[in-house]
Amino acid sequence: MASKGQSLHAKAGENIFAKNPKVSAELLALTYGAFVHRLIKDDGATTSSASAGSGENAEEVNAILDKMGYNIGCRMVDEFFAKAPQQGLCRDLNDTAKVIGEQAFKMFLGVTAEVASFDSENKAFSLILRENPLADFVILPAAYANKLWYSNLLCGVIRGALEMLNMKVACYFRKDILRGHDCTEMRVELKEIIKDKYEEDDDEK
Amino acid sequence: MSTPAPPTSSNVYEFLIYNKTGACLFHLDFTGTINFDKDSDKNSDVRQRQKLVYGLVCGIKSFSQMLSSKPLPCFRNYATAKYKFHIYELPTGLKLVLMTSPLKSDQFETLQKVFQTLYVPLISRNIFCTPNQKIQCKLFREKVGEFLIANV
Repeated sequence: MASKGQSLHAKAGENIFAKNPKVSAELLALTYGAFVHRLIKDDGATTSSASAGSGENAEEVNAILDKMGYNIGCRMVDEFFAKAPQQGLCRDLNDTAKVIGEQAFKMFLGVTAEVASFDSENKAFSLILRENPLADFVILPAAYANKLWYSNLLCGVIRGALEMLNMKVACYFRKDILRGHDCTEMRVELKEIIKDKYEEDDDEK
Repeated sequence: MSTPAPPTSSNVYEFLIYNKTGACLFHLDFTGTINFDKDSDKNSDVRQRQKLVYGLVCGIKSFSQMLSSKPLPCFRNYATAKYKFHIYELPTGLKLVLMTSPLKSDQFETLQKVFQTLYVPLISRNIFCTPNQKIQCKLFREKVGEFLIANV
């Protein structure tokens, strides 16, 4: 039963991926790379020190990538439900993890992420990517190799998407192939479930 | 926001979109009877109507869930002698509400199509539209009007 459930999400993901218009993976990887490179340079320039190239602004770039991912995630969740209309509410975090890893990742990036390392209270899990289409052709310079999380955009996307679904999560990288680890691992921790707040009479814009 | 001659139809009466907090993001009237001029006034008739419809949606969802044997919400539409009320709700809390003539069949798929082919491309992918905020996009208003008149 467990394996049948697993392949359901994966199958749905594959079907939808097959039907969607695709963009070249190289184009995505190179564009993303140029983009991160630009962020590092621009961020170094604005802090008006010699930090561009020395790795000190890696934290800021990580934060910018996360924020951008967040904005993307807020919209991507609508896109997800438009493409997978039969997907309803998940029963628990386990389900959510599978939908994200097996269906959503497949639908949007063309690769599946393994779900692993559920913690004892079932409030956190890991997504393991064997291949990361964003990080093709990438080598991190020595100064950034241990400070920059290159694909931090993905963490922001997951955070944004889940927040639109009333789940406040913290999402961060634990391992990255670009840093020499054996796989790319993202950790997702559920902080709280946000209750819908019905708004009071709002002011007109 | 003033609109040019609003579309009218004998099949579709009204279409609204709400976000998860109950704010009405979009309201299209096909009967020509709703006055949108005082939209900025919190107590105007049109705002009261929007709040009323939202309250109705919440109430009906919870009633139907309580009566149902399955725990998941599955309310789709209800009909009276004068109109039929359809709803498509997304897991993100976005609700698309449609009121049509009582003779029409269930418009769940129509609402799904509105979401997939109009809302997602014109609003979700639109950098000028913030998610969960009032929809100001004129193109969306036109397209939705055309689509509903043609497909309901």
